[in-house]
Amino acid sequence: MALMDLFHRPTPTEIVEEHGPAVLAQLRRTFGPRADVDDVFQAVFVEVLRSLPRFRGHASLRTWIHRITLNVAYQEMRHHYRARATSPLDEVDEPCSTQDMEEELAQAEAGRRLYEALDELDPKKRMAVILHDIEGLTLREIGEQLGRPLQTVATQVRTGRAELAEALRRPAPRAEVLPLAPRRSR
Amino acid sequence: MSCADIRGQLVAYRKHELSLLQTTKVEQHLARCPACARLHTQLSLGFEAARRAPQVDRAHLVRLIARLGPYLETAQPDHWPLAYGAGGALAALAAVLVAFGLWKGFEPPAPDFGAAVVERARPQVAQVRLVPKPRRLEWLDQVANRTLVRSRPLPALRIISSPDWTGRVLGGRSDEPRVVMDQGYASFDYQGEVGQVLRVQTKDLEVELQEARAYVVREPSGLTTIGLLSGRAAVAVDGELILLAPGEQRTFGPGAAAKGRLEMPAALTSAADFVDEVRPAIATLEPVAEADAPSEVLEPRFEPLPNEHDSNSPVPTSEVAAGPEVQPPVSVSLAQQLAEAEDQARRGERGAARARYEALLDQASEPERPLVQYELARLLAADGATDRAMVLYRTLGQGENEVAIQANFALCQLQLQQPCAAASCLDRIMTDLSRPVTVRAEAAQLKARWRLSSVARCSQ
Repeated sequence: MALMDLFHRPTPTEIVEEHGPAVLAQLRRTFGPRADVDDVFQAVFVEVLRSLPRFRGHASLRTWIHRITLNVAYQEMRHHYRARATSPLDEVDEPCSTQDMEEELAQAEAGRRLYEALDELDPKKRMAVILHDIEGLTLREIGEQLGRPLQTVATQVRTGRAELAEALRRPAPRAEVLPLAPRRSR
Repeated sequence: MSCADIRGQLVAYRKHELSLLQTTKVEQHLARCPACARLHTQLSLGFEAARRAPQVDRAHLVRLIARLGPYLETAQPDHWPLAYGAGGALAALAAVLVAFGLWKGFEPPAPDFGAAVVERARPQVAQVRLVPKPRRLEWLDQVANRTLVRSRPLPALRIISSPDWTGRVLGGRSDEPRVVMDQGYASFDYQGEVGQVLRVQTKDLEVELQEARAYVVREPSGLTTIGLLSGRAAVAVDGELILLAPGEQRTFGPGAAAKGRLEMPAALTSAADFVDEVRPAIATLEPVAEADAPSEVLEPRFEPLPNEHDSNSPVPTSEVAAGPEVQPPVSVSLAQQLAEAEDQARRGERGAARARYEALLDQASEPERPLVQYELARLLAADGATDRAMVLYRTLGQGENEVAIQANFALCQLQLQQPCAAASCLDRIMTDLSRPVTVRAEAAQLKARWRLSSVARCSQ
């Protein structure tokens, strides 16, 4: 790394370019790989850029953006509670071989059902389960990120998992195509 | 176990979080229940699909960035924190040098936990029950690692702590207050709502108190001693839940063997009682045989906490810190001087108190300065010098630390004469998604408490 890199201050475009892929990936893991998260992505970075002048560097920029992403995603979940956010199955990339195809399709279908079941959870439990069981955060980290007591997070994960299993057990509801959209327009 | 029980444990089973016994039960069930086995497969495949790193298409990302166009042009930061740029490089270098210097010169003090504590000055009353006071901010402050720790008001909690106690009182958004304790000793009086518990958490264990009077001693060696004077208490340690009976004391940690019965003091109403009576009693406790230990939890004998407005209160009000107190500090001398200045203000010598704060401002080191500024702003606000108080609060409110958060709330409070301005002020905090959820939730709570919920924002 050149010494001059230490003196470089990233521009807003560079910030979005650097952190955009991670935010997009996180939003897709949160809302499902086929949910339309473009508007949520935009809402996250509008908030990031709007708040940038107040960023003091008490946490790293990555942590700070992650926190904003979680907050925006949580608001989105609350707004779209019980709404389905899926897109037609034919948008899935076609696998190569027949065996791969079967495995891929089975997994894609299981993933789709999982996110449908997650959609039925209360947003608080849903966020806790996603962060713990998909993002791999510890209960303590989730508590810190969401500002909830450890015990509360543990309860939300436990009951969220049980409700998730119950929701998965029920016959799959007909998916309704409903793109995600930010609640607040800016 | 029923199918419903198993379903609730499938994710934990998949992540190997269950005990051996539970794992065996789940596996036996899955072997004979095709429906649950199918569900397990579905869950496993689903989580596997979800955890696979989603592909991020570069071209798609470029399109998304293009949509942000206007914001990219207008959102130039006013300034960057020192963490970035040349300042960051120099600050990092300086920090490394300072840290190295401190490390070389640092000699840990000899552990003197025990009787030495008794010889110290009267312990401070760190936290008290708060009576809702309209138009006053009601968070609790606490000493911890040179920072203020904010908490939400707790309905019935009093902590009497040793001077070397460090910890935080957390309110959270649920009904479950929590004290995170690092070291020192403290006695807790807690009388929450029916069924409501207080959790006291140390590094190694968690104590749950219900309508209880108890003490927790955390020694530098890692030993934690818990004694229950009255009420109910349970200790969660190493996955085990241990119930304590009133009068019982237990020690946990490396090499801990002490388990004794504590004589109930006749009256424990002040910090001095704790130091003079309980502490020596703890030190002289003899281990008792397991069979002799109280085995069942008795009915609580908890006396209601005294009301600070009640003249018949058994606790001298001088022992009880009132209201939202910015507690100390940082350094003992500064803490003392702040306390003296506050006493002066209480006695009506407000000019002298103000002069003292201003003098302290000149003397205070950089980390301590915000604390003094905050106190000065409070005094100015109380004296009606609102403009100057607002300037100070605005200066303080620029950061993200606890003083800044509280300064922002205080700034909103100062605008209560114009409800729409105060409502707008709190709205700005509530809608600022870069702030932690707890801070935004607290702003919402203050808005409700100050009856601003139905107030419209000022038209610009």
